[in-house]
Amino acid sequence: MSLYPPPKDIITEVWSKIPKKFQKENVRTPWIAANKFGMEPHSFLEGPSFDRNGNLYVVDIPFGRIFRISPDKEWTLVTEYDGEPNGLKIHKDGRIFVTDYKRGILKIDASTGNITPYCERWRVESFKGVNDLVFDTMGNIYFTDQGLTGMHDPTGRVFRLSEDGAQLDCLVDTVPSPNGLVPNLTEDIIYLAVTRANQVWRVPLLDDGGTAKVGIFLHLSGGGGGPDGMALDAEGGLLVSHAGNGCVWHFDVMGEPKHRIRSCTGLMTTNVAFGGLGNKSLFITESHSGAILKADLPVAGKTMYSHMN
Amino acid sequence: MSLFPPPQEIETTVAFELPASLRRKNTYSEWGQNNQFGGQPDSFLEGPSFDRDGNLWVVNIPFGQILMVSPLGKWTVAAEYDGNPNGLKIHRDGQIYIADYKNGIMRLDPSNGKVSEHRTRIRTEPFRGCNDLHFGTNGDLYFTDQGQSDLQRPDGRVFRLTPDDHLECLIDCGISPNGLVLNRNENMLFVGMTRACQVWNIPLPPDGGPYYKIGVFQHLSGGPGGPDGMCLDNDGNLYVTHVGLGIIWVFSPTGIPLYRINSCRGAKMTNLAFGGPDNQSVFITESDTGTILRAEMPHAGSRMYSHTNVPYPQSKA
Repeated sequence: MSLYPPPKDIITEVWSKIPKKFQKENVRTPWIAANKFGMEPHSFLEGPSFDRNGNLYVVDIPFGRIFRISPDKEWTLVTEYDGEPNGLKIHKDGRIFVTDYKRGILKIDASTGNITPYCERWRVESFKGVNDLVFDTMGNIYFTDQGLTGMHDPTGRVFRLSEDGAQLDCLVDTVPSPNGLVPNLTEDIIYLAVTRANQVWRVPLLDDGGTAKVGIFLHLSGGGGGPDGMALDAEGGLLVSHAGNGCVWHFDVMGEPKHRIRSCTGLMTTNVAFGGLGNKSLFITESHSGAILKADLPVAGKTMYSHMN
Repeated sequence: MSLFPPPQEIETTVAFELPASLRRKNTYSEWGQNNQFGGQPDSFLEGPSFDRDGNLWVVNIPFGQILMVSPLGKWTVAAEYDGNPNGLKIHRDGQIYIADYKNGIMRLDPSNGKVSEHRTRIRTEPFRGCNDLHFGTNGDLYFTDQGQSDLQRPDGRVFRLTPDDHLECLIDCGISPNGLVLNRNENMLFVGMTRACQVWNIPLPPDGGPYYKIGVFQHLSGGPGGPDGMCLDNDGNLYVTHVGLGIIWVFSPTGIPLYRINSCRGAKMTNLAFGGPDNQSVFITESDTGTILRAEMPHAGSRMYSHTNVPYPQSKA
C-alpha cells in the first residue's frame, strides 16, 4: 500500500543461470513437499553474497547445496550436504555463515566444503526453521526463525547472536513469517521482512539490548508470497525483494517508493546483493528459473560487513 | 493505493431494481438493529448467483428471503423463512445452498421452496454467524463463519465441508472472514477479511491440514467496511467488492491491480457474479439501494460449480 505515485521501472537482465548439469530432475525433498507442493523445482537459489574477490555465493535450499559463481560466471559446487541452506552471509574475516532451515546456523569452509554447526538450538530447543541472517558492523549476527509461521500462527522470531557466538537473545517472537532483515545506516533499527503479513516491520534496537515499539514500516500487496530478502543502499534506502511478484522494490530512507526493479524472467525474486562496478549493480536470485538477475541502480549499495576494513 | 499504477476504471449500469412491492419500509429487523446500528433497511441484497436457466438468485438478509430475478427482470420470492441468508451458491444438482448468519448452512429446494438445515453446528455448537460460501469443482463447500469477529476479537473461522459430510476448520483467527473463492488451481483459498481491510490467502496442501503459511494477499484501505464478496474470472483474476467504498478491485493472479469497477448507485456493492450471454458481465448487489448493477468485462467468469457437468468424484468413505 502506498499513497505515493508509482515508482519508476528499472529493467533487469539474466546475468547467469544455474548450469544444466546442476539442475536436479525428479528429486523430491521434504522442503519441496511442504513449501512448493505440486511443483518440481530443479533448484531454489537464495542467499546471494559476494566475497572480496568478486565471487558470488548462493545457496540451493531443497538440495542442500552451496555454489560459488566466479566473476566470469563459472559455477562451482562448494558443498552438498544434509540440510536446507536458506541464507548466507560472509564475515569480514572470510568465514561463511549459513542460516539452514533444517539445522540452524552453520559455518561453511569454502575450500573444503566442510560444514560446522555454529548455533543449532536456543538453549536445548530447536529453531522453527531459520531463514536469513545479517551482520552488523560489530559482527553480531541477526537472524530470523521463520518456520511455517503465518497469519494463523504469528510466532516467528528474530534473534541476535553476539560476535563471539556466546550470547543468543530473542528480540521479537510475534512475527507472521520473519524473513530477510537488514539494519538501517545507524544500526538502531532492524528492517524485517514479514512475508505472510506482506509487510516490512521496523524493530528498534535499544541501548539496553532489547527492543520496543516494534512497528510496521511498509505495507505491500500481491504476490504468492511477500517480502523476502532485503538490502540497504548507501543512502539508507531499502531494497525489498517481493517473492511471487517478480520485482524488487526500492524505497528511500523515509519509505517512499522510488523504483520497481522488474524481473525479466520468473516471479520468484527472493533475495538481493549489491555488487559490480562501484557497487551499483543489484544481483537478484530468481529462484523459479535458477537465474541471477542484474540491474543497474542509480545508487550504490551499503558496504557489507564482509568488505569492511 | 498500490505500488503499481492505478487500475483501469470500468463503469456500471443498473440491471435490475428490487420492486417497491418487495421493499419493507420502516420495518424493524434484528439483523438491521445489530449490523446496521439501529438501521431499518427496506432490504439488504447479497449472494448473487445464476442458475443454468439464467435466473439470478439473491438473498435478502434482514427478512429471510430468497429472491429470484428472471432474465427479463421479473422478481419472485422463492422462499421466506426464519433466518438471515447472507450468501448463496448453487450446487450442480440444482439445490441452492445458503450461508445463513442466524442458522448456519441451509439448503433450498427450488422445486418446492422448502428450506432445510444442511449443516448448522460444529458437533453440537452453533456457528457464530456464517457469511458466505463457495464450491470447489469436487463439491467441497468452503464457508466463512464470521460472527462479530474483528480486530479486538480475531477469531473468525473458515470451514470446509466435503460431500461426504466431513467438516474441517481451516483457520480460526480470521478478522471478519467474509467472501471467499478458490484460485484457478484450487490450491489456494482467497478470503476477504473485512475488518482488517485485507484479502488473505490460505494455501491448501494436497494432504490437507494442519494449514500453514496463511498470508496477506492484498492490503486495502478506506471505506467504512472492507473486502466483501469475491469471484474469479477465467484468467484467474480476483474480483474483490470493497463494501462502503463503492468499488470493486480486480487483481491479476499475482496481485497487480487491473481494474476498478465503480458503482453508479450506492457505496455498498457487496457481492458479484458473472453472467450474461458470454458470461462476460458481472452482476453486482448494491445493497443500500436494493439494486443489481452490471459491468461489462474483458474477461469471462470462471465457470461456477452450478454449471459443471463432470461426474461426482467417488466418496472416500
